[in-house]
Amino acid sequence: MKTKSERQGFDEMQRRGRDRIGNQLFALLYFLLMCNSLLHHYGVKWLEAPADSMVLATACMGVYIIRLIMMGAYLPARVQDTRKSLIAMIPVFIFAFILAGFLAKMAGPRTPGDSGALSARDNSILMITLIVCWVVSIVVLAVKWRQSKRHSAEDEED
Amino acid sequence: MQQKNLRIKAARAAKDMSQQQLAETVGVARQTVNAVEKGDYNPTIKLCVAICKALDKTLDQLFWEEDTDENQK
Repeated sequence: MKTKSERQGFDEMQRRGRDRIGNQLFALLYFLLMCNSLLHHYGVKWLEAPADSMVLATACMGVYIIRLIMMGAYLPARVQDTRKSLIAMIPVFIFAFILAGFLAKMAGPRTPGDSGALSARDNSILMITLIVCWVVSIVVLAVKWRQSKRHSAEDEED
Repeated sequence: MQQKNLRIKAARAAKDMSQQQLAETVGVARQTVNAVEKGDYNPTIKLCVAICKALDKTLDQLFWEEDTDENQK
């Protein structure tokens, strides 16, 4: 019986890499959240809640995705090395950008300190974190695609 | 880091297969085949068997350590 990863098309090296990177980033996120709580305890508030946790989680998620792309484990094996994989990523990024814009509009000009509210500054920092992660993801994806294309051409010359 | 596996590359060249073609036959990504040939990744026995079947070779011919063979001589 095939596992979910096998059904999704990830090969063994990709699965191993995804597990390793996922474990590392999960531990990193936990460590950062604990440090954040410690800072709050001693009165150091670099961002109001919940924006601080959202920024940390978004940053860790961005690093996770970027490391997966660098390792070549973001897309399943069967769609690797094809132009379609890059084109298929575009709607995902567009949707994520629209979602972020919708969330930003929902935040609105509320009184800072409201539970669950995001001030304009906190919202800006969150949006910047999101945009940086997306831009770096796109750049890394494009670089990996070009490298893969070059390696395939070099391999055919051998 | 392990040594490069040039025997896989030679067997692949003998069959006139690219890394991409071998990867598609075996069902893995091209990067995985590249990593196995470079010695950057240690494949499972399942993948080793699949590669051997695709290249019509035995496990000894592709994956047995060369140092051990020299010691036995």
